Amino acid sequence: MGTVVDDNLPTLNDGRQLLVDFGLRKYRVFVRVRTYAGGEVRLGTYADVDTEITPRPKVVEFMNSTELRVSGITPDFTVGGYTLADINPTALVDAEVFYVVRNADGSDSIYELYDLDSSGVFGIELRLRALDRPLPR
Amino acid sequence: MDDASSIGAQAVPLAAGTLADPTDDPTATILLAYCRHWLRYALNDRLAVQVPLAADAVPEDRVFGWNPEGTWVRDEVAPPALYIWQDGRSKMSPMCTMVRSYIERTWSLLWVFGEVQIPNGMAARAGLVNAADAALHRAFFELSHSTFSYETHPAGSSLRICLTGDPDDFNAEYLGGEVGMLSPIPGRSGRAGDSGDGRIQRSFLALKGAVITMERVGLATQTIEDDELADTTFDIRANTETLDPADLADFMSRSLT
Repeated sequence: MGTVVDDNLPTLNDGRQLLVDFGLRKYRVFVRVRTYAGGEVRLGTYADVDTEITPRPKVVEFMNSTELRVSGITPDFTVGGYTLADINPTALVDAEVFYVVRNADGSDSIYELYDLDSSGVFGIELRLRALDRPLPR
Repeated sequence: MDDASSIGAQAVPLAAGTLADPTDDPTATILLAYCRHWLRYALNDRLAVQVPLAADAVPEDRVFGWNPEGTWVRDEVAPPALYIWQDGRSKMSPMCTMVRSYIERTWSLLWVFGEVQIPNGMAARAGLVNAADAALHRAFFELSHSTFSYETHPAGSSLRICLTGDPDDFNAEYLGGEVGMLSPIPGRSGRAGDSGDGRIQRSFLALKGAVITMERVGLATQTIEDDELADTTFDIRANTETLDPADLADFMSRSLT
């Protein structure tokens, strides 16, 4: 018999999907693993594997979009959700991990993870920092 | 009196020019060109193989005669980039004479290359900046390169000649460089279990060096028409017994104001 949390995570996940269906989640967030053929990060040609975090999480911008708070990521449950390894894959010798945030207009911005809070039982929260740094203008 | 002169290659007064003419420092410009040439010579063959970071150590449009200071330049002025700017005070050279004065200036040099990741992204390029530093030491020891030409001066010309055409006007020495990395903000990892100062960092390879230059100070010059005070003439007659008007040596001493 599961805990109250276990029993409610699927419902919570469905509720988050409803927010997406209502059009309230305009950002899409992908975990991108970029693997290099040269055997070392940024050495040689590369291939990307993107994994989208679904349902779309809540994204709040700070500092003119140079920092983001990504929340509402459902923790792993029987048929859904995410483990920490899904969200923040283990670093490999020949691969780097970063995050692609697709805006409502379809444009992509890339970010790196600088903080991760998995203490909440109903949601994982990420803090992302821009890898494109166009400041100051 | 002609008050116009040049300090090194810097004309004083500045030419009026047109609105869009750059008011650059000629010394910074030649140092940028020379250092760029040597960095490309030293590194480009290797960089062309080590994709996907830049294949050109210093692209043509990535040289700047100003201090980037805290400006982060990843996008607008993307690396690789070479900056050279006057650092600190200029001063009159203590070695100057009554005839020739020189100013001595120290220049900071910053070469920023591509972004790498630590760990797992440094092994292949760990010595790249060291090689750049070594190349610049040699560049300023030789003060020329067989394929470096500048303005009207042909390839192989001495850097000392290239600034004004007169090797007495200019000299430069490389004071050395510091190998390091630049990060826009301290990097750290949010990976569960990692400490706050982090295992994964992304930083830009960089060389911070210094060059010292000596430039001759051109002074105002007197002109014959405007500054003539008096002429004193005297003759030396080479023969002693017979006056021979053709056998003379004439001298004139002109005094200027």
